[in-house]
Amino acid sequence: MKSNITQEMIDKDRRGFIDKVVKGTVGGSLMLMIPMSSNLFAEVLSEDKNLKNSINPMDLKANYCFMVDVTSCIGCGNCCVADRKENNVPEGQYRTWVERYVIDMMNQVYVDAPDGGEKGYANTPIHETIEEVKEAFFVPKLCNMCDEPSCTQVCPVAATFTTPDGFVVVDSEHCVACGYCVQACPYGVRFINEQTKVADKCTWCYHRVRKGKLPACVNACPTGARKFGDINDKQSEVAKIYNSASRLRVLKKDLGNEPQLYYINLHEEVV
Amino acid sequence: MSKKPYQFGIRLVVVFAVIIAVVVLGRQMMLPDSWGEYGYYRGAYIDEEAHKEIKYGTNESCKSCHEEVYELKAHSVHKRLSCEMCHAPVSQHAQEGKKFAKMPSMQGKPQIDLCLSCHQEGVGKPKDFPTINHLKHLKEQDVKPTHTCDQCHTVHDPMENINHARKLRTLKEVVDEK
Repeated sequence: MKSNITQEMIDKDRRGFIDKVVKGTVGGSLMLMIPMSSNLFAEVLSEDKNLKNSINPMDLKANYCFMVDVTSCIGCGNCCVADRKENNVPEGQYRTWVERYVIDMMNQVYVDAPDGGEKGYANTPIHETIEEVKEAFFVPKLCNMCDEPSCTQVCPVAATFTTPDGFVVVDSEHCVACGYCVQACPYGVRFINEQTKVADKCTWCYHRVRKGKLPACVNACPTGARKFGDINDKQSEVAKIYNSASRLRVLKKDLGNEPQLYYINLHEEVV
Repeated sequence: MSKKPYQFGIRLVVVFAVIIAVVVLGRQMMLPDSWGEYGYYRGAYIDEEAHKEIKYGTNESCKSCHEEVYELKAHSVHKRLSCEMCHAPVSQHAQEGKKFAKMPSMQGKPQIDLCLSCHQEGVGKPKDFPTINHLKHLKEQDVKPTHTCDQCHTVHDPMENINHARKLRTLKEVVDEK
């Protein structure tokens, strides 16, 4: 009698086990078979605890700025890789790049950026005429997101403009690819995209910032050389740096473009 | 039969009215709908730009499933590193229409390339950043030149085994002294 009950339980359990295995297998393979768009995954991504679920409305009180700490950049080129993948930038064109400055004992400045610094500088030889290196450092370059941009002023069809929250973007549907903005930008960050055939530039990853994420290059930087945040938010890292006694510099200040890209401890040789 | 003088005036007004109407209507038809919503540009583009697809997540995106590695890395010298730096963007998890595709663990590169992309010595690296000359380092540590980095340095916590070994060694020295 007793053994019968046990046998029954085992049978029942076995049935349940097989049931679970079959369901699991079918369910699992269905998960792999049914095509799901990556948009679904984007929702998974935005469920991160630290991030907001939906797209933020434009934060008009924010004053976003970008900071680059030149002394901590190691020139690994990881930011450029992340940027290329995030924004579908074609090979050979750069929204952001990393330059290497080498100063020799004669105070001669040599600047190079093979492959936009994307592959790193570990195996890049310095210029052959350099006998002894006095100082060498890396300078990441990207859009300066000027408060008084030259590029938007020259656009004949108003395809490039400053959004109400302060980002300079290019309307790719409206752009006629005349190339005036490419010439007007004093920092050389604009180019005609080979794939889309219209003007393109770094947007500080506007699509990520509006979703409460950091720009792709800031997220990818292993040493924290790239920083992004809102100066008006007193708790943010950039506000603390901005309000402290650190040496901040913008590029080509005398042009009056009022860039929002600040460099920390930048050498005077950099232009 | 002569026309009265104001009739010419009416004709002129009608012609002008037609021209103005054509210009106004034509402008309205030619300009995009959202033109002028925020300024002299197509306002709808701001939303288009903001809704572009995100490719890279954050380390938090990986945490929900890979908490063990996340915790290991979060307390190591590699805590600032983004997981996606070596493992490719998280959106590749959702490739080919499948929700959870296999992740390219090292982007098809040999591991040493990933390590040396930062740690190879070179002109311009900050002085406080740990760099090595790869072959020299292997020779100094008395290991084969074919050794991979992770045979000593666990990639997610590079100093884990080293520190452990150092502790053991100091312990031995302490024991020997006694």
